[in-house]
Amino acid sequence: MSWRPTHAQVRAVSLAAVLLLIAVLGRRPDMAVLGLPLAFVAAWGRYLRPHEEPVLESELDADVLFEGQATTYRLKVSEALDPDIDLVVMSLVRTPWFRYDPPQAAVAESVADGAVTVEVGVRSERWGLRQLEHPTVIATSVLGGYRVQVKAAEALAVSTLPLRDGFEAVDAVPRPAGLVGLHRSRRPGEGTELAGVRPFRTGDRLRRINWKVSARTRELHVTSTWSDRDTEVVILLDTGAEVGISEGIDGRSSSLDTAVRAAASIAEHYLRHGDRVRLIDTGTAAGGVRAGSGRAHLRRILDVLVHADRRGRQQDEYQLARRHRIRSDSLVLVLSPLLRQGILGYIVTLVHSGCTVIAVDTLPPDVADVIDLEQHDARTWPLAWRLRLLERRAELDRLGDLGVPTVGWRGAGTLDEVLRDAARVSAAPRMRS
Amino acid sequence: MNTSDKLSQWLSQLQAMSSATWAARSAIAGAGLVALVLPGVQSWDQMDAIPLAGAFLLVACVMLPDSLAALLFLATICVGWLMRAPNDLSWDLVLTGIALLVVHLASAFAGQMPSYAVAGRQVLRKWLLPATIAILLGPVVAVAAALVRDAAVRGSLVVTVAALIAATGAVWYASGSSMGESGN
Repeated sequence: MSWRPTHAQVRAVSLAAVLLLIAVLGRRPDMAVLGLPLAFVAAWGRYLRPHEEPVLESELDADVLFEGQATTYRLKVSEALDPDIDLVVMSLVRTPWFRYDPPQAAVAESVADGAVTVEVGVRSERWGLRQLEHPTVIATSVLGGYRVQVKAAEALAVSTLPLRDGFEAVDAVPRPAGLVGLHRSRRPGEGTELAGVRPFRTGDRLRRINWKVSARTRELHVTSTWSDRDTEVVILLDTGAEVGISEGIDGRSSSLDTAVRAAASIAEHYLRHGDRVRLIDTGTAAGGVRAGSGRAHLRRILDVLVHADRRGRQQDEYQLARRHRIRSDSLVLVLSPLLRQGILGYIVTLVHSGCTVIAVDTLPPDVADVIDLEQHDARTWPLAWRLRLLERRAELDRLGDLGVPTVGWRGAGTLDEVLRDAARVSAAPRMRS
Repeated sequence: MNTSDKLSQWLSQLQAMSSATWAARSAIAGAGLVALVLPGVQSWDQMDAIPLAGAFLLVACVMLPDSLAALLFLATICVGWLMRAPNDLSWDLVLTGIALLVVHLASAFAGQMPSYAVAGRQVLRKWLLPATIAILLGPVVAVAAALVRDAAVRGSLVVTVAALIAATGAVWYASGSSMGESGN
């Protein structure tokens, strides 16, 4: 691409030429009054015509965000800019699940001192890995006489992690593997057993700061503890179906949205408390993560959850049981809309193998009201959903009879009641048959 | 994209129009209206087709500043003066010239960015000097031409040839050799 005259330059040149010609040949000074200013504008634009094509590079302040977080997309001149370039206009093609500032994602910046930086704010509204489209960049000369379309900068990808709300649950865990006093936990975490004093790291609680040591060493130190318990928490993520409408972090959530966000929050909570967390995907979309603990493990889980919106082949209950062997003392949290027979059958298998299973219902409450008028009949669709929900209610009751509580996801505190119940049941004396 | 999609996209872009674009398009509309109305109030009889075609082209010019509409609008107004106006220098002519120049500059400004692009005031920094000079050029030329005409300068053939050569040179330079080139 090279610098080309714009409509404005062609207009000024052609009109000035014709008017001045008529003025001179036809002895019409009035035409000179109309034509000379245009000739001047055309000559000025021609004189300040740029010759070098600007080389621009794009960058993001942060390519990993949490849902609802924003970053800045920046377009910069990588080398010295032709001083005759007046304006650089960048227009980003809007990508779904991103909100831009300004909303239309188009900014015009004038060149000052041979440099220009064009910035657009980008806010990610849904978890996932997405590419920002190539921006359209146009540079123009003074008086809009010439323009060039600058080669598109490379596309940048933004990874949005599904973690926003802080999730909290009671400390009750049905069968903790490590107990303070008897068997000290193998992992550091929230607890009362002293593990040592170490330098402060980002994320440490302020109440853990050891002020005496900090004052002596002139550097912040915290008192670290061993985790009070050490349970394997298995998060079973049902990626088989996405029911409902997804409107991003500020709108309605689909079943998959709720499941993924809940999985991230639960993993963060238990890893913070020193437990081992494992992620199992019922399909092949997200893949799984083996049991582990610590902050790096949380990042591994979040990185895997980012890919959960891809369509993957779903496994039935037999394939799930064969591929994912779960220890009988594990706490299994099933995040699912609980509509597929395969997932219900696998829950029954887990209960029979001795696991403590809690089903977190991710089905949106307004699912019957979501109607696609092109595909569904407006009269029969809600009725069909009511029938299906009645069937589902019966299936969930049967799960309840097996000792599997079902709770809807409400964020913090969702699992408190069922965890207390499960801990109480597992601590009760057992009758041998 | 069907018509309703295009219409809704156009409406959303209209809604998101930035202040710079509003100002530029308002300037096109205002100056264009002046250029249309001024010949109409003159003593000479203007062609009936000029206001009609001019109004239509002005609307097109406001909607599509980066198109041939502005060229056609300017040409229409100039043809109106050329066909019926007496060979006279008046302040109305100067005002019309300034209005046409404003239409040209505002169209050039609005045409270099999408209507929804955000632009600060500093984008006009390099426009102020040439635009001011060009606007002042009209009255200066008018006054100079009136003085020369009243002074009845001799040797008008030499003056005409010199002016013709100067005008050709200016236009040749302004058009630049790149006009016909396909690229580098």
